[in-house]
Amino acid sequence: MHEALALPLPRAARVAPYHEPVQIGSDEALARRAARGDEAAFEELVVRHQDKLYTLALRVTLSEADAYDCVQEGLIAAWRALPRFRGDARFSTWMYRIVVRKAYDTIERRRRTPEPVEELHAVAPEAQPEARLDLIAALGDLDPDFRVVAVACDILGMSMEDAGTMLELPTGTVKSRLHRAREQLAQALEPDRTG
Amino acid sequence: MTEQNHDEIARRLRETGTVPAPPRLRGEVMDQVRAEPRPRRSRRPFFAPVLPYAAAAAVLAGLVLAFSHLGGGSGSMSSGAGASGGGTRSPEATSVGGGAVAPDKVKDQAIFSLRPGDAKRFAALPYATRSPKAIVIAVPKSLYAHYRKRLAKIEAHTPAGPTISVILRRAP
Repeated sequence: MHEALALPLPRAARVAPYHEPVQIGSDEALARRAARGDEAAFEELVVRHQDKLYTLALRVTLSEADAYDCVQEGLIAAWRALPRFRGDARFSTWMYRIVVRKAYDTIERRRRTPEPVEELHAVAPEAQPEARLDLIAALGDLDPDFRVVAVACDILGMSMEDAGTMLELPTGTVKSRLHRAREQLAQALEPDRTG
Repeated sequence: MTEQNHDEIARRLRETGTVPAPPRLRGEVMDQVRAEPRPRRSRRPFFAPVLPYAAAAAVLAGLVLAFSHLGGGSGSMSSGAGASGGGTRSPEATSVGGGAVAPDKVKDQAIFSLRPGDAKRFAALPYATRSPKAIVIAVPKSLYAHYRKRLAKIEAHTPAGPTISVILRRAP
């Protein structure tokens, strides 16, 4: 028993993470590893970003099924495109851009061939307060161009610059769209706010 | 609408938070990823950036080597006359009239390839000596340039066929 306790710790356990570069766990470092075919690194990226990507797709497409498809297809597309990822933008921004494009494609396809859509407010958890459901419903009524900016900046907490990079828009355009989106939401929620 | 209202909307949107992705999403994505062929970066060798320069240097070195072999130091070219018609060559390695010519004595010499008929005309000159392989003409310094020019002209009009080497030298 004593002998067992006296055994030295495995080497790996004794090596502190101090020897590792600080950015070893950064998205960009993982993306570089994933670009070389490291599936574990890519899985880590999926874990890190899947919730935000799903939220973005869900709030833009207003459909859980479409959001699921957008994120799934977007992640597969990202895996294929990773060797071409130059790192000009942050990995997360690059990833969001792929999913937003998928979401826009979905909206466009739906516009061309209208079909019954499972509305977002209908699938929101029942435990949510009514005011919140109203806000989400009002968000769904916005034009997609305004909606995506509000989702990116106010829900996901992206900076206007990052949102501009993601949407390939000038920062000024993002700012004005965000302003109008908030304005329209405020108007839509006016009775709710006063009441 | 006031700035306060904007902040209020932003706050309320922020409070809606992120929606957790369905649990099966990650598994399905990774299943597809594993089924995909691995993304491969186009692997360029580490020396790829300098490859064009290395190739150019190799070509240049080859050219220099080739010229050094073909020209052989080209004593006749360096003599300054430059009117040899391109056919003159150094007699460094030629053994005529008893032994190879030492490189330091090649300076005022030139070799021409002439038709046997033309070469025999020069063999009749008083400066000429004849060997089985060539005709050597050792002319006075004052006539060297004249003969060199003349031989070069004849050589330029020499058609393809059997030729005899005529070595022009400046007499000591």
